[in-house]
Amino acid sequence: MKRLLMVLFCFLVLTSLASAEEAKKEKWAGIDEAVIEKYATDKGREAAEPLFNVEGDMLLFLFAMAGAMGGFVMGYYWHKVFIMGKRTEEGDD
Amino acid sequence: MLQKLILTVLLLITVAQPAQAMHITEGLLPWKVASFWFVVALPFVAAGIWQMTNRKKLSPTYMPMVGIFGAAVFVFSCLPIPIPGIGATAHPAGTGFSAILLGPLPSVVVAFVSLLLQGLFLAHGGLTTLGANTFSMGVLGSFAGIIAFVIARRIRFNLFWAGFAAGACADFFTYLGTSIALASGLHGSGSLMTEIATIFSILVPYVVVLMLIEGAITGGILVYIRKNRPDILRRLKIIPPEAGS
Repeated sequence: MKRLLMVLFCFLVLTSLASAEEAKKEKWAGIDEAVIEKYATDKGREAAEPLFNVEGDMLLFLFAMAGAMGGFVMGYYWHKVFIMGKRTEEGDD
Repeated sequence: MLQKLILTVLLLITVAQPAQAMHITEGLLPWKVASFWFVVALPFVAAGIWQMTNRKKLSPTYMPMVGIFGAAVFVFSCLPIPIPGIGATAHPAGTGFSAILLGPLPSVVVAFVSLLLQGLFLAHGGLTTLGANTFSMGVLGSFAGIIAFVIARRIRFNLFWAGFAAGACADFFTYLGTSIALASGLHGSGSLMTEIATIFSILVPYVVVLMLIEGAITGGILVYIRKNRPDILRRLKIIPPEAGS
């Protein structure tokens, strides 16, 4: 199991690093852009501006914040259930 | 400590980049079609909220579990996974494990809230397409995940492989749902089925990679929980009462 997780981790890190490098060449577009939006445009349907149109580094900032907040919430409850909860469970036994 | 460091690095590297992934973008669906998908998805959201309210009264660990797996679905559905060989990114759904551990209807709520936040603040998906995206990721993803898991357990798959089947099917049906929702707005006078098949055939190479990744993660989560808190899986009747850690 640990080996599988390590392989998965290495895969994600390597592909993400590759992604960052490739992004400079304007590759690695998301499939909503590369496939879904392109398909819709070909069918005569253009995407509209989002309600809050954030672009550039502001979008990067928001994604970083979203990831950090999501990670914090996940970690907080993970600790509550799997660390503290496990101790309580063992105490009950 | 090492595990925490690895997780932090993983989150920073993979999440801190704008994700352009599988959600249907704002404005791609005509308003009539967009409204139709809201009508389809909202009853599931309402039923999910009702079920969550009931379940939190029955189990003290339920809301913390919603916290963990709700945040996980949010992070997962913003996580751009590069697809080698194609040169594009796509994201997993996370609704496979949330459907197993929270229930399929609460999993729809979790997907709805994630998609709402992404549509509002991350220019990812959209508000007019929220109903369609909730249908594909929330409804189809969650129910496909739980059905695959139940079938896999009945035919005696072990916990990891049953979780793998759930994660893989959740992704497969999420992207199929995206194809259905998009085709419903774009087929015009042509055949809806042909349109769905055309869109889905383009998405398949992405889906296969995501299925493998999400399947492994879902199976891994279940094995981790059996090892550390088997009482949670016993309470959910995922493992029999006598099964130990």
